Amino acid sequence: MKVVIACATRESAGEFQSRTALGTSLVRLAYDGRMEVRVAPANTRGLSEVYNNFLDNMDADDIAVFVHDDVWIDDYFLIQRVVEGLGQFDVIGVVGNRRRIPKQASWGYLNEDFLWDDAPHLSGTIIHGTGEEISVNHYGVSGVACEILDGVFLAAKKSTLTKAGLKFDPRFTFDLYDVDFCRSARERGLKLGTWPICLTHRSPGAFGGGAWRAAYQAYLAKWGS
Amino acid sequence: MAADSKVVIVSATRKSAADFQSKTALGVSLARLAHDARLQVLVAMSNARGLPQVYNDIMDQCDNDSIIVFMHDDVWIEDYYMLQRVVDGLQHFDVIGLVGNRRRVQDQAAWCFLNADLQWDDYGHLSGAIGHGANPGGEVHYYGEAGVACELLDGVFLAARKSTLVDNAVSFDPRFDFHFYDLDFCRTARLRGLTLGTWRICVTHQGAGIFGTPDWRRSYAAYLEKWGE
Repeated sequence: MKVVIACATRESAGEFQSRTALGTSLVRLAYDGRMEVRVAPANTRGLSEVYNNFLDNMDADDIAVFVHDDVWIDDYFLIQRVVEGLGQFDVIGVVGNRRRIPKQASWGYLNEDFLWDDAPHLSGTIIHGTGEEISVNHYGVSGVACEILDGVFLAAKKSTLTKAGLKFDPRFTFDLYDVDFCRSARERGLKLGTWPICLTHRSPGAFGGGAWRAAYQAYLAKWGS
Repeated sequence: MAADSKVVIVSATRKSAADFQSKTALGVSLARLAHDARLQVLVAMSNARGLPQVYNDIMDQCDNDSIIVFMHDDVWIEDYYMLQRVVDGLQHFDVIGLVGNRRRVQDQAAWCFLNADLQWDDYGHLSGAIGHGANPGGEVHYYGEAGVACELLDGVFLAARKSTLVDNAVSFDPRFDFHFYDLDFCRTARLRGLTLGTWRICVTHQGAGIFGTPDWRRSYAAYLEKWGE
């Protein structure tokens, strides 16, 4: 069994290793012989398509960790924690929402006006920022069941996804792919949850642009709400 | 133990209070834990006393149901779930650390050194992982599987319930000011029947440890005199 870190980046392979938060921080996990890193360098395709290709090329007993390239892994026990988390849930993330309401626009936003959900519904902790300018965002207790997880970090056993017939929907290139994936997972009866893994996300996410609104409309067209 | 027991970070620093918060690795990185209401911080500022004396004095001030984490001030806390992990670890062991040795041999000179010549023990006996470097995100040194029982733990980070230490008459011996206080503490704990183990908590330690100096050799002699070997 391998734990495959799967990532897409616009950087070249060399620059991924030397310049991205994920690439540089993965060095700290190298002691763990279970880790394998697979990167789509110089990528211009949608994340869903890239992630599905990674899944197709993994061994049946592998664990897949889908993570953005602007994530610094603070937690050098990440591989062990993923294995432990997937002993409790079918899909794990680091932050998420314990509920989902109609027309929900992301794990944290209730609608397209970006109304933030109430704290009791949210779960997990993540750092945002770079260098010393960081903000520890504690949303709620971790290790609890969720309906939606932030796509910045998602992990699952390939066998679980295969058995459930679950993949990423390529109609979502970057925005809403995570909400769609989580909703599809729940529809198939999979258990989602947050897990206490320490990460620093070096971007706050992009919401509300033209591409985001188009993806939101595609999401509503697919699911009806 | 109540679910909301305090987890007290105990440390000593040569810095002033203001400099501790802004200039030490521990002081700066404590901000990562501020979201956890169980956190309490007790630090001996502008300190010139030995660590055992400071640790014992601060332990006396802690509530009996508190958990105490004894840490050096040159440690970056990278793990913002640290308090929960300490609580979890202390459900498995009476005393936890980050790195340690699953055995103790005669005349052992540190958790990782077998003798006064600073000969490393075989990795098969070692446990845990820790980052080393000046800045957060230091190079990770992996010694072996964590979450296992040990005889000796590195004093860079030691945690226990106060009640466990008090009930078993385990404290730090003030004859050791900086060197060997951790070996002596671990050995005392084992003599009292406590269980010791490593736990998975991510930090970067700025210092690599100071071994082999005249002060260190004096402490080693005092340690051998106390324990006979």
